[in-house]
Amino acid sequence: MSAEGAELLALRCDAVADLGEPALRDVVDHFDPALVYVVRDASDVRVVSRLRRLFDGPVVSATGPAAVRTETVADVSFLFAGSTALLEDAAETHPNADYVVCDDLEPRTDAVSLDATLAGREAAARYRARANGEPTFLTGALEASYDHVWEATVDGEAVRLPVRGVAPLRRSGGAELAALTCDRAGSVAVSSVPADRFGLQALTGVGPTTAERLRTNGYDTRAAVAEATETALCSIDGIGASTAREIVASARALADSRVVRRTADPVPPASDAATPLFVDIETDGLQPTIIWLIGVYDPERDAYVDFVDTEPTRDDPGAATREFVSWLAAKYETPSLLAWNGHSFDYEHLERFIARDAPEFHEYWREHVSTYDPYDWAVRRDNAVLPGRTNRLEDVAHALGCDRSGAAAALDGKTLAERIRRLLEGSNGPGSGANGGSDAAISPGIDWDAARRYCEADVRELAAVYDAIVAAPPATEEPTEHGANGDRATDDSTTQTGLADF
Amino acid sequence: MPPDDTENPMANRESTPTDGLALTAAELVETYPSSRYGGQDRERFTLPAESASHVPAREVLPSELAAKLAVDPWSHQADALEALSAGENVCVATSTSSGKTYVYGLDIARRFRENPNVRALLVYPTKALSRDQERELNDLFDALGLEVTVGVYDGDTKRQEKVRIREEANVVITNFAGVNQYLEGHHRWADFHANCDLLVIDEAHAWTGISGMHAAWILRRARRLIDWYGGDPQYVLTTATIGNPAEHAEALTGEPATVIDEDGSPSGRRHLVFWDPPADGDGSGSGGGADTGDGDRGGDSAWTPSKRPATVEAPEVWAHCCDRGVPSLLFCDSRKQTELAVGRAREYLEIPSLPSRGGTELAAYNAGHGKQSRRGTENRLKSGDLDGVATTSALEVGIDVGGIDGTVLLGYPGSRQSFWQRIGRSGRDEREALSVFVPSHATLDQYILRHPEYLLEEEPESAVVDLENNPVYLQHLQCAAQELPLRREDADRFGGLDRLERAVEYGRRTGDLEGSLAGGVTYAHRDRPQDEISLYASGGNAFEVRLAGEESIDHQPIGRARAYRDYHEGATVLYRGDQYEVVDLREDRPQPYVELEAVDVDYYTQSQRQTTIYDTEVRESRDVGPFRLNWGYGTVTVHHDTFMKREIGSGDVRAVGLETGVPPLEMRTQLCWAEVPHDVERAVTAAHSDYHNDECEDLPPRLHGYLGGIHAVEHAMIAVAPLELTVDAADLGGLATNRLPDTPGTSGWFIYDGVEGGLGFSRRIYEEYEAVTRRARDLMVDCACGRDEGCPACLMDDRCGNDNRPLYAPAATDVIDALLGDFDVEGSTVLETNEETDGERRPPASIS
Repeated sequence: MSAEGAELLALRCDAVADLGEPALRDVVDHFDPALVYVVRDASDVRVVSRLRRLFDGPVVSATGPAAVRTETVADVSFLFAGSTALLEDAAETHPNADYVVCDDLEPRTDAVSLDATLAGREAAARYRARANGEPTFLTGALEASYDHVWEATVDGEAVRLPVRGVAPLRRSGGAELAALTCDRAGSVAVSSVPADRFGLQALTGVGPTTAERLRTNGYDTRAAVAEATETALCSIDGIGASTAREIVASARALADSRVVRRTADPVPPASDAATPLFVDIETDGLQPTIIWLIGVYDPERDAYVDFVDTEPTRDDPGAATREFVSWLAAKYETPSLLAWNGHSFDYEHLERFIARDAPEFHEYWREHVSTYDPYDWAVRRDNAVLPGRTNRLEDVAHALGCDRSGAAAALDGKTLAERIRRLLEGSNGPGSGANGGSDAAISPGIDWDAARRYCEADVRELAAVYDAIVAAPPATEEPTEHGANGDRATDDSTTQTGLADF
Repeated sequence: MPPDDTENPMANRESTPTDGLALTAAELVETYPSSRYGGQDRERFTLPAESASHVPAREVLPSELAAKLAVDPWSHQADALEALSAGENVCVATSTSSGKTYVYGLDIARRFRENPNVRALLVYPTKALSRDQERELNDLFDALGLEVTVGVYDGDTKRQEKVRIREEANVVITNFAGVNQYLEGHHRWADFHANCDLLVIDEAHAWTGISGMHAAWILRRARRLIDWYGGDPQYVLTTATIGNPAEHAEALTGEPATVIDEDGSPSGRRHLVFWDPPADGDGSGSGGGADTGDGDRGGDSAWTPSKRPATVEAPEVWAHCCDRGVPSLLFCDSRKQTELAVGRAREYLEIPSLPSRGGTELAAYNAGHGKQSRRGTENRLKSGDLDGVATTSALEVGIDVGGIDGTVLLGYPGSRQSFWQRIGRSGRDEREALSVFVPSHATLDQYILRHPEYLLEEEPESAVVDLENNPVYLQHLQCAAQELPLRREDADRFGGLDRLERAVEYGRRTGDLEGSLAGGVTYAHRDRPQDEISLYASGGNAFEVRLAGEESIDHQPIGRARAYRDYHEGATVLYRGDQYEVVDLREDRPQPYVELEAVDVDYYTQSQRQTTIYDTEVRESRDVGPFRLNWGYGTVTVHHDTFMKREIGSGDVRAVGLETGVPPLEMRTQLCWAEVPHDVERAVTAAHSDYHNDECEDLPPRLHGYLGGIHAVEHAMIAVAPLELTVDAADLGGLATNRLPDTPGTSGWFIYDGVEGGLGFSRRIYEEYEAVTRRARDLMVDCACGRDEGCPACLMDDRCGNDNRPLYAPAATDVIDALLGDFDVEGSTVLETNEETDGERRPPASIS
């Protein structure tokens, strides 16, 4: 993926131990990192040497010689330290690191007494105090979702230590490999893909067993499968007609980077409905306390409109929502909204905020606004196979040829959410307002313009993906067992909130 | 799981025999074959009849409803309805079969008339009870002519059904494990929450200890979400009689409740007999051993209880009752026991020398029989075709047993609540009834045999719900944050601001929580923290219980402490009356599990533990007599390293010292400990320095008596704790030591909660120390064994890592007397102080 900053791919050996050489190559091709880091936990020399053969950039292993090593890629410098003890001298020898990577950094916890401290904090703080810049600390002992600013004191001075995890994310279905786009200002964007979505297993309907069956029958690449006929796959023991259909559809979707429809069902909304509007909301997390940006793309007018709350406060978290819904009501009598995974996220929270913060529009929202979710239609309801490593919007769009560039590419939703959260905390009453200067200097500010461009890119991609789904020819016949494995596609391809029906 | 009255006090009854009770207690003894009688009739009580106290229905219900109700409500039902009208929460603590269901049933009915969209959430302890209650409530609402929709929403409910229930049902019946899960999808319940008027917790006394704290936090989470959607429900809790209903209700819900305990339901006269199995002179029966779950220890003590086991005696008494026209239930602990009991009873009735009337029909009843066969037994019982049924706890609740006149209890069921519940299955409405308790040779049974006032007069056990446990608190905080951002306003509900702030900071540092209380704290991951909650474990990492092969077992996950203790490889597990053996214990994977295999063996297992305690931290102290008593936290390392096999029935030791293969378990937990004053230690040591136990060569010879004393106090206190608290003694552990960790110049003994973070039990024992030690003293002094070294029914504990050595009751009673102020150190003749026992020369000696 192209972006500003250096792409760091961090791996735990056990997360990729089951991947064969083609799949591991697929990992490297997919993330296209500038640097590969193998974390210390569960390290395995065989995996490391396979990586070294496959990847022509630097592969740094945390279990290597206990030494300090630096790598500068894409103008971003990384300092790797085998232990925190080594950071002492490193402050003299390598004072200019943008990122310090050390797996010794890890919380030590006592849940009974509610105590949590950071192992290695003193050493990190001393490095930070003596170094020239304001490095971010990365650790393979924590998952890539970890993002916490620790505080420490060095010679009476308070020092802030931003610590981020890099290790693969633990998910119920298995590990998810994560790459971090690290820019020089300390901004980190994370993208991740389940570890079992590489090689043949990237195909819908192919798990380890089926992958093995395909390989033993001579289909060892996705391209080979894409060229196979359903009949040919059917003749393999253990692969039934509907699975074969699914596998071929998926292989062609991936190989040709196109959408393959699996049913003849029309794509909602029906063509006689109002022109769809594509929407996306930005929040402060998966359980939002605020919706601070709502982007809308109207394809008929080719116009992007957004509602942004550039002075978000917790006193009025629904300001953007209110603006949005009153604009919508004024402009569109019976609009059809489309949002990616909207049924599980955007609509649910919009409705919650409207009910509370714009109750006068609640009835309009419930009675006159129709909501659609192309993700739900395509993936959960098995109506189409999408190209892309995962079914996340950016992956699908990327596979369809929409690439982001500039500021929008260096952002991800979670990072934006995190910044908003810090902003809200920074404006935490008059007390912290007084030292707001130092806070602002340390916590990355929000580039509202970049955020809006990120959101715009999102809704335009959504429109492009939707168009691709509509443009794909409907399946000519109903699959024989349509719906029989209705949930399979969602098992590991989505990481949105839980789908279980509780 | 303790049960409840699911009987419908107002429905039509099956016909009961018109003639009276065939045998009173006196007649039981008179008619008992003299060749079999050796003075078993140890105690006899007559509990007087209580007449019903009614309140006219129209006084508490709108007239249309009152008109449709066939019978006037009992006074406690009316009281509860009135309190609910006044906007109060209520906790109904009345007897078995006192129609507690009608309290909320009628309340829902009258609310429904005002608002057909009214919603109520009913939380039952088990899925089985849920279905029974659904039926009963539907019958009630039908009788009242109301279209109230009732739905059971749990793991067995179909998806489409779930949607319908969420959207339409006025009454949703579920269980705590379900509520824990459903809260995550609260937006699907928006309408339900907004209209939720009533939250009912049935069998509230069952929620104690570790599951109690989970229940309490789940209720707080539920209440917060209901608030958010604008609902404002009242609570109805129903409970068996417990010592602290008001406190328990508030601990569970976080809100005060009006206790309704003036029982207005009627009961007939009841004859209760304590039937102590006779000395077994002729060696018949199964060899004069003890019953499952206890037994004599091998080794140096050759003492054996010379009694017939209750497993032999109880079926005979039961057979006699049934034969003499008292249709009776016999309550047993396991499925196997019910089958054996029927066999023994039939043999007994066929002995030609005994004057049996013949034609007595008996059957066994347990979950192993399959639904159809059980329905058949129930019907034959109701119709009078059967004279007696031997049952597991399966018939303790719910199912209508018809006109049963007698109940026989094979052993004490472990709690007073369960005792009365079982007893109460005989005698319906105002009919006279006969109940016979046949004690086993086990600690609690023997205590109760000697202290019937415990059952009849004293305050019932207190239910303990402890919200101190931080690992459990953190788990629920993560769930709450995932459900809706946590804010400062939530502090009152979630442990107070100080604790909440510390926990949030902890969660931010570990990366599990994000944000601040001012803006809203949310859960940082995409998984469902609710999935990590196991109602029976603390702090996650629960072991799944599986069955080898294709079959599945509906067994709750268990905590690590319990897995190591009772589910190590080779352990036998008795679950719902069936025997299993643990064939695998694995924790080198994300989901640890134990695997069971059904077996049919004639032994059971018990593990022994080695305990060490360090890093104690005093949180509270008080003086008890001259003793210093502390409560606080400590690090306890428990190693269940070996186990033994004992024969079922006789209790004979089959094998000892088998290895469990589990590693030591270290936990930070709550504990209480007593520091023995130096002069008391010196006096007791000197007074008993002659006592010597050859097996204790590791211990200084002079100290066998004293150490045996404090070791015995520790054992006895744990043994009697279930008499004061609703605690499983297995969840407590102890250690007696010559050198306390923080004050090595002092001896004392610990009692700790056997779960990471603690359970609040040691805390209660700290508060009730005098009462518990008094009971411990009674236990050792009164025991029929009369042995200084005790027996399995008093001082010995199969889990003892020191093989129950040394144990010495005379020194123990001296120590307790000193603690209770009944032992005069000055006055005792043994004041020659021995300097060397003080200070650095004190030899280290710890016994658990």
